[in-house]
Amino acid sequence: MATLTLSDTDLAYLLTLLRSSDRPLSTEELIEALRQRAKR
Amino acid sequence: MAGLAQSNVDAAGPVFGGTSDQQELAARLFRVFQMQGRFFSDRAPIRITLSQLAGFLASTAGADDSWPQKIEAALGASPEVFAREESDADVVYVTTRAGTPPVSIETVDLAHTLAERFLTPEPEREHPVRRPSIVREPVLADDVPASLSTPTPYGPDSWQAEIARQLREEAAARAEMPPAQVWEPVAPPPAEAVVEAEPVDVDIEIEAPAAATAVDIGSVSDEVLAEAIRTSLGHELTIARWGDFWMSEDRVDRFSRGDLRRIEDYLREQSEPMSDDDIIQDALNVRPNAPDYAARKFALNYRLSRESREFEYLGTDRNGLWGLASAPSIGTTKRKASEIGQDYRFLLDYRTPVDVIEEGLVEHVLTFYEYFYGVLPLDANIGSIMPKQGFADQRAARITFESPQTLETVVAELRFPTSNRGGFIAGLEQFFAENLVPGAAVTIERTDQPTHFLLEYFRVSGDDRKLLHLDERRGRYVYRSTTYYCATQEEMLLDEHRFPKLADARPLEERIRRRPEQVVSATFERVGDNIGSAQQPRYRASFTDLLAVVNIERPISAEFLRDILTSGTYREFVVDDSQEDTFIYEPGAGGA
Repeated sequence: MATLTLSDTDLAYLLTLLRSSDRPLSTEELIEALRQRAKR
Repeated sequence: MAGLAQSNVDAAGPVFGGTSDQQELAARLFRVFQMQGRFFSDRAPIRITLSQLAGFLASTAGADDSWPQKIEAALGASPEVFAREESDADVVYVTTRAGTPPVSIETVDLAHTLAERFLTPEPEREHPVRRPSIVREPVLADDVPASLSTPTPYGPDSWQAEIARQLREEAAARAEMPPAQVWEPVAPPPAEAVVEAEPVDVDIEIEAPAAATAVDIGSVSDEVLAEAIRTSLGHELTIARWGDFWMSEDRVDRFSRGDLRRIEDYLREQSEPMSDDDIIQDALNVRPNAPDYAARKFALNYRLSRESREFEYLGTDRNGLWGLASAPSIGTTKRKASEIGQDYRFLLDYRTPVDVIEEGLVEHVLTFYEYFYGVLPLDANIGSIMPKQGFADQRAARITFESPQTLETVVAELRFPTSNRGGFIAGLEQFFAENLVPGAAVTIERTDQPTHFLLEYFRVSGDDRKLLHLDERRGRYVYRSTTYYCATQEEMLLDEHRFPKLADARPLEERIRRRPEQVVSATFERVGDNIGSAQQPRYRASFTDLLAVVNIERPISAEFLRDILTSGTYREFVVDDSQEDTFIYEPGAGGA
């Protein structure tokens, strides 16, 4: 069974997002951030 | 040598290259470096010139003009430990107490040295222009959603701004990277080619590694995307996780030994598990309206999870709850929790709910095993309403059950499954003994609080029957007159008239209990009709009888029992075509 992962660019975006945040982010917030980015 | 004894260098020490003589010399010189830097931090560079090292050896091992050459050869053979620097006057060797060359700092920012700051007059300050509403630019102005942006209370020339600039460059560089590489399963070579190249009769099956598929953000559901995020971020060592929250590890606050001791004392004083909110407010004096409260709470949960010798996490993926690791756990004393987990191991293979269940509500019929040990299985049905783990290695979570019928609240422990043990809920022994009987139908309902559940049963007028009990003193099953006031499922009730052969029977030995198929065989002999002869017995029993009685020895679900009887793995069990849902056991037919 295939493991679902993020693409390298999406993962890099989340890592940058987390490194620039001084508070914890929930998975829902990360999903929302990825969705917003995909729309642009 | 006290400095050496206190150092953090691994007891095995670094590995040196070269010949044995060179390794010995390098090890000897490394100890000199350790002595020199005994008060340094692990990563601070320790520099000693070649002439100093040669002088040391000359004074301790005798004068020899070839010491510099020998030192250069020995240290040069261990580039992972020593770095070589050349200056005008001499050659300098550098290492650290950790046994690795120091990370080179390519650019030294002299603009912010203390001397420079004292010598440079402060520029005249400009008066800031007040704006009516301050919209601060996020670190990644183009990319970070406004909802997640954090205020940047620092000036454009500060070191924070410099880091932000570097982050932007790093993000831009990553964005220019080629698209994600998708792992393709490795296809085995064509059979013909294998035969031509290597005419051997051995089939070698090469298993393809589990392929990793990168999800397309625009076309997947939130659940799939959440799974991809958890998988991807879960592999990142620089990202800290608590439940469903994520944070960059280097941004998570650290706690001093004093903080940890205060938390430990606080938990000891309370003598019961306390929530992360209580700990952070009472023991660490952080106000709930503090701007960094969420980060402090995350830090508390994440950092305490690393102190497993003192603290145990008993919360869920969203509610932190901490107790002392030395505190007693909840559950029966009749059987070890690890053994109960082994008994429930089969649950690892049955993870799909078989019943159509109402959202947040699960029905369950109590078996003898569950009643006796005060446990409930964490099967697919019950697992669907239970909270999730906060950490991957979490052992248990504290949950409570409220009984509307008895108006009491029972504290229980949710034991999470491991790779070889099934999950279960422990701590209901007394409640079951006082209110229910094996065969009782109960419902478990989720409430607004993720760790609080309603445990209900249907109260009926008293019924008096002779039901099965285990006389622990004699070590035998006995039937006793029992009056109960709960609704039951008749098929699971262990009544004397239905199973007379169980009276005075001994519990099965542990080695048999560990083998589900042997427990099923013994159950046939206890409840079945012998349709063979005394010399060649064949036992026939209905599925419902088998299910009720097999569960007095060990947990076996209906699905698991049906698989044992019909899978063909155990040929001693066959379907009886003459009667509906009835099976026959032929001792010895399995060939064991």
